[in-house]
Amino acid sequence: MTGIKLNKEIKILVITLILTSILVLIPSTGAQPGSIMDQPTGMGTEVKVLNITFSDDDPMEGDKIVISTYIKNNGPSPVTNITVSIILNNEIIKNITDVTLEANESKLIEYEWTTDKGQQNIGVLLYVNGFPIQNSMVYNSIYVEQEPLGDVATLFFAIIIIFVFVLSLVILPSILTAIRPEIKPYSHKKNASKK
Amino acid sequence: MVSFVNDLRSDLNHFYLSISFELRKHFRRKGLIMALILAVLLPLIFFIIPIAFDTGFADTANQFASSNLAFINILIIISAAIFTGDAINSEFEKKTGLILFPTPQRRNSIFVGRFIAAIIGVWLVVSIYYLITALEITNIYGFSEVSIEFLKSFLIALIYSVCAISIIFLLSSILKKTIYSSLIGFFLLMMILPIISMVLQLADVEPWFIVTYSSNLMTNVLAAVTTSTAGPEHGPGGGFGAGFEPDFYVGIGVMVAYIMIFLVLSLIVANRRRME
Repeated sequence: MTGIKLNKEIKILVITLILTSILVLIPSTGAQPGSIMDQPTGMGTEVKVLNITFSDDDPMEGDKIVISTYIKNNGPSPVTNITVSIILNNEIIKNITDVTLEANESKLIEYEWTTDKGQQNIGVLLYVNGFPIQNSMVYNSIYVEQEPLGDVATLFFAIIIIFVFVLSLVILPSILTAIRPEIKPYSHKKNASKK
Repeated sequence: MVSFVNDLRSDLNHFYLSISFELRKHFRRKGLIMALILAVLLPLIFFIIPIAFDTGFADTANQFASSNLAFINILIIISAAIFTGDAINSEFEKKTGLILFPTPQRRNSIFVGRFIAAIIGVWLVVSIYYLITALEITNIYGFSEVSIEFLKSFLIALIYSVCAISIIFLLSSILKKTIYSSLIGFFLLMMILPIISMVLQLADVEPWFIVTYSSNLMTNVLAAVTTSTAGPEHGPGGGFGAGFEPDFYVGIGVMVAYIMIFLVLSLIVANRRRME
């Protein structure tokens, strides 16, 4: 009976040891070079977006402005395979991939953007190995003025055209009568004769 | 040649007489007073209510003007219906044409004179509306804030007024009753054409050929865009009637084309129309 009991205890001990070792070893294998978890994930990295600035703070619609953003690695080890996503009104407009930051290094990322009118929210989000870095999203907004529509000269010209046209309709019957006297276009005499 | 010059002079004289007579008629009517009261009251609402409720005005003069001019479209249509609804068919309905048409005055000069008189009436109403808005802008933001865009908006409103007049003028030449031409003209410009325009936009077709769509230029030129244009979109084709905006030159071209086509058509119909 004692032998059987010991066997059971040994079995439980062995299973406990195996489970414990699995639980302990899994995180450590992530850090070992050459494994599937070789590169640091988005979580835990200390890469941050410092700011977003624009080359022109008061642009007109259709202007090309440069969106500049500084990203910094505050961690002690280098971070590779960073993707910087430029986001316009919750929609990614540009992904700048394969950015590498050494320890404590900061880097300037620039992107030329053709502006669209109205209030625009520009954001930058960082990814490491395809995983977004939590709370790395930084926003800045810019108001883009609409390009002036048309010109006053065209409008004056249109008004002049309208009046010339209307006046020409007044004098048209006289001209037609002068050219072809037998035709009296829509004159009272014609209408009276028809009646 | 002498005959031609005399004929021309006679036509222009009759044209002038027709305008002056029609204007006198307009000034005697209550319709003009009603339109003028609207032209004064509507812009004042946008000035008095923010003061009364202490809500504050828009950030910029153009934004203020843009919201203030929200009713200019309605005012133009009402004024055009008032001044033009009876321009042609009243002669046939009231039989006054029996006296007028046998006179040595061409129908063309009579009707074009009435067309011009209607333009003067509507332009007066529109000008008062814009003048009061400009005075409000001067009072709130200062005179320097009355922009060139505001002038553009005013000029577009004048062109659109002529367009609305020419559409109702054609209806007046076709329809028998003055009340029908006024009402159908009003509903056509106020509801039917905007609905067609909206449906076309939902179907992802730009309604550039519809004049009420071009009339949006009156406020669009003020460039008072405050919301994002790249936000989430709705409806088929990714827009809920907001995907399209009229092009300035196309819009003005469409208005001028409408004026020419509708005026010529209305004169042809009016000249061929017989007294019943």
